[in-house]
Amino acid sequence: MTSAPITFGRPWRVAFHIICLALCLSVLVPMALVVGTAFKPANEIYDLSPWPSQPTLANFGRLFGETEFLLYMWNSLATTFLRVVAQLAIAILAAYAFARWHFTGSTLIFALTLGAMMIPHQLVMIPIYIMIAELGWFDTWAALIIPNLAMPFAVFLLRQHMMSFPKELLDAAEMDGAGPLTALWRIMLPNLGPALAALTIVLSIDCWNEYFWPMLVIDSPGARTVQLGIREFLEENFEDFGALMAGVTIASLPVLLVFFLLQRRIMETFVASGLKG
Amino acid sequence: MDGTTAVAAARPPVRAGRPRFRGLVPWLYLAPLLAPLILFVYWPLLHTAWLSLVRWNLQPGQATEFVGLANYAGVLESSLFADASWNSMIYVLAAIPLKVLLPLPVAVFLWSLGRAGGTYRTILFLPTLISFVIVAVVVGWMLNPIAGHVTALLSWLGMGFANPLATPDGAIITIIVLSAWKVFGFNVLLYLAGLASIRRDLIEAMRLDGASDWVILRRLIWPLLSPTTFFVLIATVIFSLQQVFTPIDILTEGGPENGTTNFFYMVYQLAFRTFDIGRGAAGTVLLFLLLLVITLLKLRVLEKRVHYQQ
Amino acid sequence: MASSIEFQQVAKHFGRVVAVEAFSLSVQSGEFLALVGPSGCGKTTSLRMLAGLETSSEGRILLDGADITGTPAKDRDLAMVFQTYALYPHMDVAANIGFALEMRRVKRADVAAAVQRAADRLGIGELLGRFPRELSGGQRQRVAVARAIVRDPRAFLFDEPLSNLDAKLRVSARAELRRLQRDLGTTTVYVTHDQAEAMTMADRIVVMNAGRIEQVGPPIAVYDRPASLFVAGFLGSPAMNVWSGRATADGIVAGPLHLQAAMPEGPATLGIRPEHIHLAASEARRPTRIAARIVLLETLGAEMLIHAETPAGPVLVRLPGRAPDLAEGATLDVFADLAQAHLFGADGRRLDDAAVAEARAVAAG
Repeated sequence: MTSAPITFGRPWRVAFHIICLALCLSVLVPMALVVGTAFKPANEIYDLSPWPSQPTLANFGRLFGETEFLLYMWNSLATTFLRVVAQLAIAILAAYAFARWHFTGSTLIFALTLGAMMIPHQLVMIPIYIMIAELGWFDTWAALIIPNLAMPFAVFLLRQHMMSFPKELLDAAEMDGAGPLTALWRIMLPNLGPALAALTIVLSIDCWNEYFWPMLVIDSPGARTVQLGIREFLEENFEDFGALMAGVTIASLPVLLVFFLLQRRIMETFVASGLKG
Repeated sequence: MDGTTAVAAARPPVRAGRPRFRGLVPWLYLAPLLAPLILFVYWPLLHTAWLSLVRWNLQPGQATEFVGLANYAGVLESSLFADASWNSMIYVLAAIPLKVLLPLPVAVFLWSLGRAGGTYRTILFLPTLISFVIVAVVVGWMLNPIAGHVTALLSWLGMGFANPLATPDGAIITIIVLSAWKVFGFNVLLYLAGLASIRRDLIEAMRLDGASDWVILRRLIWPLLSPTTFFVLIATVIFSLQQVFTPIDILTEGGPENGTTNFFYMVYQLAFRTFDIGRGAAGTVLLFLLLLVITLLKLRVLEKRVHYQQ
Repeated sequence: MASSIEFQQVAKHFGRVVAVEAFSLSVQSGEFLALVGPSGCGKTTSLRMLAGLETSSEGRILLDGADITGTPAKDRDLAMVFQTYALYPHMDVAANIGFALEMRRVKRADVAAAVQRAADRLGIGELLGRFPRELSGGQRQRVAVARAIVRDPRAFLFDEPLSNLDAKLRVSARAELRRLQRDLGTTTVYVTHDQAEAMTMADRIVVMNAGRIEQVGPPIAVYDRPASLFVAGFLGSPAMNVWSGRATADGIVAGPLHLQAAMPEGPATLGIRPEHIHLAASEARRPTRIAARIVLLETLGAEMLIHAETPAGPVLVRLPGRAPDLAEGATLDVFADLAQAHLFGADGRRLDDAAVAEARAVAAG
């Protein structure tokens, strides 16, 4: 960025800094409270001070010892991994077809793909619920993964990137004897690295944070995800806020960590995706 | 063998060929997308439309009974629908100042800071990353009458404090505020993306014409940003209807006295709380029509945006 | 490896736009053929149809007698050098050059040897470990050529391979490329809009215009006897003097000249290259003397260009060496060497040279 496009007068600047600081505090203070409480001993839970005077891991101990939180994390990690890999594979192939070939029906199919972006889960929940009931898939990973394989926004985003990819490189690959799949795998994808990485992370965060769908199809603790686990914990262990905040900390940590790996790209991808957590 | 012969040996024969099923190839790449798209989006939409015309309670053995438009009448006449409509309107109206108007000046300010605004931007973005479950759980904890920090803070200040989630008004305000908090940074980012696309030479030209910052903001940036503003508005309206599902479900389950339920939560209540599949499907079809109208509006705005770029 | 190529009535339509039409052409084994024409004339489309990157709408393309019209590009065993070079940005030079061999599952050691040989041949043997972004324009161009020669294809296809180089490099690169092609003896089809490239490199040139072939032949033959007004105007820099006029029973009046010529009545066009108009002082052939006023002098060192006006239109003269006594605004006597004149009929096609019998300059009177 070059010089500032607009320079507010000093009083405005001060006022805006105060507003922004207040907004940032509204983000950071609750986070600090959560993390602080996660390390507080039981007798300090009700104290106003955000930080524990005697930090302890006891809350984490109870979280992992008395609940199945480790299992929930495994469920979340495994289904997120499997689902995102499948979503990416499907989106990459489709985006490539849309970006590379014009064929009868391509416009219609692309419009259908875009149209699906506008359909939230709640609009299709009843028939899919029935479907899953008939297949006997309640409380399985399949119920979490399979109805969510098509990610229209990922198709759209990848298609944009692929259309701005130099066409000569694909032509050159073809002249060199590469078929379309080889050209995709060997020539195009290696050059989409950062975009793919950001997309992968955004899809993973979306899946990790998901609530509505798992809530609908998962009931037993065996297939519970982290988000469901935290809600259950709130309902069942109502008084144990220390362990609850330990769970909240652990559930948020992976998301924040991957975010800081590729901050800027991820924010851009989020903006492009329309996913808002 | 040496390299030359190896290269020659690998030479494939040139086949005299006809185009072999070349038209089929794109469909092979699209099939993995089309299958779930049809099975889990478009077929369920049609199925829902059918289910909205029958009476069924989700029991596998139970026969379905065709009832025509009775489910629609049932939904439209219910007090749940009246409450959901009213609340949906409140959610949307409250969203406009909090989520659409307020982020705009903040975004312009961050834009004027350039690189220095990065820290603010990143911190404000963090709520987007945190799951709504966790946001709702933490808010529930902080508002908890016994253990909550907000409660404790207020009683320490000598103010009595009742749990806002216990009253309909308090509950809906809580959900409005926490959803505004969650989406604020995201909308700031949307505005920043719009601002970044404004060409600097336009601003410089206007400044050379003797315009002040205020004039530039009002006469150049606001009009050029208007497609973005409209986009943020539409996206926020949908967000304010849909994404609050999670905090509603976790904090209030639509209550108290249907005080926080909205269209999205209503169809869930109908289908999976009262197990009235017909009415749930009828509500879903109505909600679909509403979203369709909003989406068509959005498409018109996108066309306008293209127009602006020329 | 050298193969023969044949286009038989090939056409390409994009929707209702006709890009190439009735394209028939034979390329001999080992020949260097240049397709030349203004942008949009269909030369690149023709090349891409030969490559297999574009499907043809009509006609057949034969490679060594086999019909390859429907064969996918990857199975045609042709190598192409692109205008942008199209080097794979994520692969080093060695991987770029060796990619085609790798696709054919040639053994790793053999690939390395072949890559080294091709790179050495182009003087880039030291650059094998570099990435395209670390190379200069000239080096990239060489990598692109190395990538084409490494697998000894049936033919080389070049699509404006030198147009991204700066002017100086372009001149040396074209000589080098020509020498390389002669040494290898590989059939080559070369697309360019630069007539100098086409003239200096090709065994034969194909001049194209608006999707059709205007003329095919050795460069000098095409230059000396352009088959059409379009070719006459396109080849040669600066462009030929062209005067349109009429043929009557009395002869042809075109611009400042009046020719005695036996040809059917109707519109006719006379063309004379700037180097075939000489200063009248140096010779005394009176009949084609033209009196002109000098408008602009361009002194290029080795030669001079004189832009002059006659009452019947502008005339451009190209003189070797210098003429310090000429000045802008002065009048000048020149004469046209009618042995070198070109006559075109109403349809723009060339008329036989024998038609010009005698002539005199109108303006000179």
